[in-house]
Amino acid sequence: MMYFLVMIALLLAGVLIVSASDRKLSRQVGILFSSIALAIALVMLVEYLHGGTVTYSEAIPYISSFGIYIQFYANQFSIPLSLLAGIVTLAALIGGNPMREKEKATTALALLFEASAIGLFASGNLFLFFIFWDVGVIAAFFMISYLGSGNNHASSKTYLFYSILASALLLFGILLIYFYMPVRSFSIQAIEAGSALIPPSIQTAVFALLFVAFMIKMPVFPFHSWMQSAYSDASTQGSMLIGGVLSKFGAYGLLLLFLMLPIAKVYAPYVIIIAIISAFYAAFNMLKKDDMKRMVAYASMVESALILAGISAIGIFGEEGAIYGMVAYGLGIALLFLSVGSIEFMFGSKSTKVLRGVVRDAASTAYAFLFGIFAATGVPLTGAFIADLLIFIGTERSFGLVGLIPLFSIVIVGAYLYYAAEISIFDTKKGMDMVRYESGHWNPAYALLVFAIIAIGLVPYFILGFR
Amino acid sequence: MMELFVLVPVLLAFLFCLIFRDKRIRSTGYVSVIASLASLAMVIYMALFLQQGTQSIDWFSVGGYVFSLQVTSAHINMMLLFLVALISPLIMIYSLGFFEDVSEHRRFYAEMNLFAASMMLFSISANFLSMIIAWEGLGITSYLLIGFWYAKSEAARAARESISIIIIGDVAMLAALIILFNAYGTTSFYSISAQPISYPLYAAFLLVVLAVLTKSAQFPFSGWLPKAMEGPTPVSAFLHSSTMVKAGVFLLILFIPVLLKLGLLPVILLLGAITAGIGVLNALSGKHIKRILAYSTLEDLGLMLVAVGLNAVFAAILLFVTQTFYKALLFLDAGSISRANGEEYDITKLRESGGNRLIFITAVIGVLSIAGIFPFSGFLGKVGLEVSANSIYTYIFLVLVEIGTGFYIFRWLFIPMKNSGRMEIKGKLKSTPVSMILPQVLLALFVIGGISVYFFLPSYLGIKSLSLSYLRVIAETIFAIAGTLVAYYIYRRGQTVKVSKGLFVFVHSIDGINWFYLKFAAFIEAISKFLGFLDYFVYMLFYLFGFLSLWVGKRLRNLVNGNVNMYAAWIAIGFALILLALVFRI
Repeated sequence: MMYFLVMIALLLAGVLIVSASDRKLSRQVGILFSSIALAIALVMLVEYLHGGTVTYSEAIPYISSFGIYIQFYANQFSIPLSLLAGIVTLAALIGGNPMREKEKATTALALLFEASAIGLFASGNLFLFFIFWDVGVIAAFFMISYLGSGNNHASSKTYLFYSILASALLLFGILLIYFYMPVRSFSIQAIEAGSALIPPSIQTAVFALLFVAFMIKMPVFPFHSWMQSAYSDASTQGSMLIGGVLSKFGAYGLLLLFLMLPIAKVYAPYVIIIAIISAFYAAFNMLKKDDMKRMVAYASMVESALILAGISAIGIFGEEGAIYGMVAYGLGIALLFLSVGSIEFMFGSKSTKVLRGVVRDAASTAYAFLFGIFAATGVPLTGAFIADLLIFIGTERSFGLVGLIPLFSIVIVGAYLYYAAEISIFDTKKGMDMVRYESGHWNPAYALLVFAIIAIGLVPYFILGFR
Repeated sequence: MMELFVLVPVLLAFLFCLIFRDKRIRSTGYVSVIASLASLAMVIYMALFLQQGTQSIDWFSVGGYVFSLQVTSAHINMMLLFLVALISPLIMIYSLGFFEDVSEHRRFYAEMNLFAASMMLFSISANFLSMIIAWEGLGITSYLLIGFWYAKSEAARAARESISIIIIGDVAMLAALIILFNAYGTTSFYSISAQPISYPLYAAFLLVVLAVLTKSAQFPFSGWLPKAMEGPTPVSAFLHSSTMVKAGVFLLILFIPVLLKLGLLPVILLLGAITAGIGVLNALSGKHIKRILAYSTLEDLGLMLVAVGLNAVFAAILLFVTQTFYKALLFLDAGSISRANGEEYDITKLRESGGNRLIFITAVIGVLSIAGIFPFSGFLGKVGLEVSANSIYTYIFLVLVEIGTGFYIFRWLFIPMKNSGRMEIKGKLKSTPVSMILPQVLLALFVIGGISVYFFLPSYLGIKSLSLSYLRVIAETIFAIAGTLVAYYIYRRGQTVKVSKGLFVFVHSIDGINWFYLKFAAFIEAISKFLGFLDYFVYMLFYLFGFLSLWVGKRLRNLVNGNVNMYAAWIAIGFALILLALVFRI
C-alpha cells in the first residue's frame, strides 16, 4: 500500500479544497482532512507493529535520467514522526486559532505544512527531502509573517534569512554527495551503502555544510537567533508547528546524516560538546524571560540540545532515544505553546509580569500548562522520561559521565517553568479578569496531546516496537 | 504481580475522582476511603500469606536490552507498604471532616490517591526503574498537594520551592539509574547490592545520596520542608509520617551494605547530625503549630540518617516505624486544634483542645511518645539510637538532641494549654466532627501498641535485635523528663521567653539555609544575566537585519510604482550612462 503517497496527496488536495471552500467551513474541512491523515498514520503504525515488517518503500519514477524517484520509506523513523506531525497539526487546527481570523489561510497553511512534514520524514531520497524541507520552511514563513502578531514582519525576515542560508547549505551538501558518490544517486539507502567510498575530505565538507544547516533548523547554539522572535511572533498554530515539528526537520536530518556518513563518528565528541553548551546556554537564557512564549521557545531549544546529544551518541540507544525525544518533546512543546497561546487569547497578555491567577477562570488551560511542564521535565509515564532515559544511556555509553551533563539542564528548565506557573497561573491572590471569554474549544486539543503524551509514556512499544 | 494489585483500588479511586464531576456530595471522599481500606486489606493478606520473592514485568526493550519493572514482597518492603496502607485510610477519613468546603473534595482526593499510589509503588519496587516512577510521582503529587490552597501566595510559593529542590533529586536519581544500567546491565536493587566496589558504583551512589538528601530534606536541602506546612494539614500528616520524606531514608536503609562498602556512611552520619541539630534548634523558637512539628520531622529524619550512618539497621527501622505513628498523630492533633480555634496557627494564640477532651488526651500521648518517655513507642527509636552510638561524642550529641526534643515538644503543648486558662479567644470554638477524632484515637492506640514492634520485627525482617538493658531505658527516660521539666519550668505560666542574641543565630538557622538558597539563586541569575546580554546582542544584530530589509523594501518599492514616465526616465538615464561609458572607454 502506498500509504505515504495517499496521505500527502490527500493533504495537498485538502489545501486546495480549503482554499476553494467557504470561509466558515474551512476549519471543519481542515480538521477532517487532518484526522483522515492521522487515521492513515495510525493504520500504518498498527500494521507495521503487527506485521513486524521493517522497511518498505513506495517508488514512482520521476526524473529517470537523474535517477530521481518519488520514493517513500515506511520505517522506524518515518512512522512515529508522521504521527507526531499528524497529532500536532490536528491539535493546532482544533485549538490553535481561537480568533477565527484568516481562517482559510490558517487551515490551508497548516495542512500544507503537515504534508511537507510527513513527506520529509518519509522521503526516501535527498531530492524529495530538500523539496519538502523548503515547502515546510515557506509554510512556516507565512505562519509568522502573515498570521503572526507583534513584530511579525521583521521576525519573519530574520527567520527567512536563516532558513535560506540553511537551504543553500543543504542543497550544496546534497549535490556534493550526489556528485561524489561512486554511482550517482540521491537515494538514502544507496548513500548509506556507498558513502564509505566518498573521499574523507569531501565527507568532512558535506558534514560541515549539512551540520550547520541542521543546527540552524533545530535550533542549536550558536545559530539560534531566529528562534525567539519567530516563535513568539508566530500565530499559536505557527508556534506549535514550528516548535513541535519544524525543529524536528533539523533533528531528523542530523540523524540521517549520522547514519549516512561514516565520518560523522569522528566528529561525535565535538557534537556532544556543542550539545552541552547549547543546553546550558538555552537554559540560562530562559531565566530572564518574562514572555511565556519565549520561555517555552528556550525550553524547546534545551530539548533540541538533548536530542542532539542523543544523536551524537552513535548506537542503538542514542538513535532510538533521539527519535523518542523528537516525538515526546515535540508533543510536550506543542502542548505548552497551545496553552500559552490560549492564555494570551483569553487574558490579552503572555508576560509573567502581567499575568496573574490564570487558574481561577481558565482551569483547563492552567492544568494543560502544568502537564506541559511535567512532559517537558520528563516525569515518568510521560514520553519525555523514556526519551531522557534512552538518550542518556546512549551518551553515557559513548562519552562516560560527561555525557550525563546535559541532563542537569532540565533542573533549570523545570525550576523556571514552575516559577512561571507559580506567579502567573496559580497564585490567585491578585487574579486578573479575562479579556475574552472562551468556553474552552481547545479542550479537545489538550486532551489529544495529553493522551498522546501519556500513551507513548506508558507504551513505548509504539515507537520502539519496530525491530 | 500480586504486589501491584495493591495499587488498583487507589488508582481506580483516582480515576473516579477525575471522572466524577458532581461537587456537591462527598462521594469522592467516601470512594477514596473505601479504596484505601481495600488496599489495606490486601496488604494485610499479603503480609501474612505471601512468600517473599521478586517478580519482574517487562516494560520495553531496546537493542536486546530489556527494561523491566521489578516488584518485591520482601518483608522490609511489606513493612513500609503496611505503614503506608495503614496511615492512608486514616488520613482519608480525617480529610472528610477537615475539608468543610465540599467543592474541594474532588481535587484533593484525586491528588491524594495518586500520592498514596506513588508511595505504595515505591514501597514494593525492587529496581531503580520502578522506583524512579514512584519517586518522581511523589515529587509532583506533593507539589500539587503542598500548593493545594494556591489562592494563598505562600502556598503557591512553598509548592514551587519544594519542587525546585526535589527536581534536583529526580534528575540525580535518573543519572544514577543510567550509570548503574550501563555498568551492570540491570537496575535491580539486589544485584547492585552484590556488586564489588567500582568507579561507576561510587558515582551512582553519590547521586543516589544527593537525591535522598533532597527528598528527605536533609542539610543543605532542608529549606523546603518547613515551608511545605502551607499545605492542608492532612497532607502534612501524610507527607511527614509515612510517605515522601521517609522514601529517601528507606532507600538508604536498603542500601546500607553498599554505602558501607563505599565508605559513605560517615558523610551520611554527619549530614544527618547537622539536620537533626537544625531541626531541634529551630523547633525551640517556632511559633507556628505545624512548623514546629516540621522542624521536629527534620530532627527525626536527621536521626534516622545518623542511625544509618552508624550502621545500626534495627535502630533506624525502630525510629522509622515509631515515628510514623507519633508524627501522624501530632499533625492530626495540630490540625484539629487549629481548626477548632478558627484556623489559627500561632501557638501563643491557641487554646489547647478546642473544647474536645479527646484531642487533648491524644496530643499528650503523642507528645510523650515523641519525647521518648517509657512506655510509649517513641522511646524505642531514641533508646535504640543511643545504644548504637559508636563514640562518646555521638552519645553526647544524641542526649542533647533528646533533651532538646523533650523541651520543644512540651513547649508546644504547654503554651496553648496555659492559654486556655488565661486568655479569652475571639470567636467561638468549633466542634470537631467524629471523622476527625476517630483517626486520632486509632493513632493514639497505635502509638501505645507500637511498643510491640520491638519484639516481632527482628524475626519478621530477619535482622539482629538490639539488647536494651534496664539501665539504658531508665537513663533515656530521665533525659527525656529532664527536657520536659525545663520546658515546664520556663513555660509554666504560658509566656514566651526572649532568647539572647548569641542563641538567636542558632534557633533561626533555617533562615540561614534560605539565605544560602537566595545567594545561590542570585549567582545563577548573574550567569543568566551575562549570557542573556550576549544572546540579546547577537539576536538584535540579526533582528536589525530583518528591520533593515523591511526599510530597504519600503524605499525600493517606489521604484516599481507603475509610473511609466519614471520608468522611461530611468531607462534614459541608463542609456546615457552606457553611452558615456562607451564614449570615454572606461
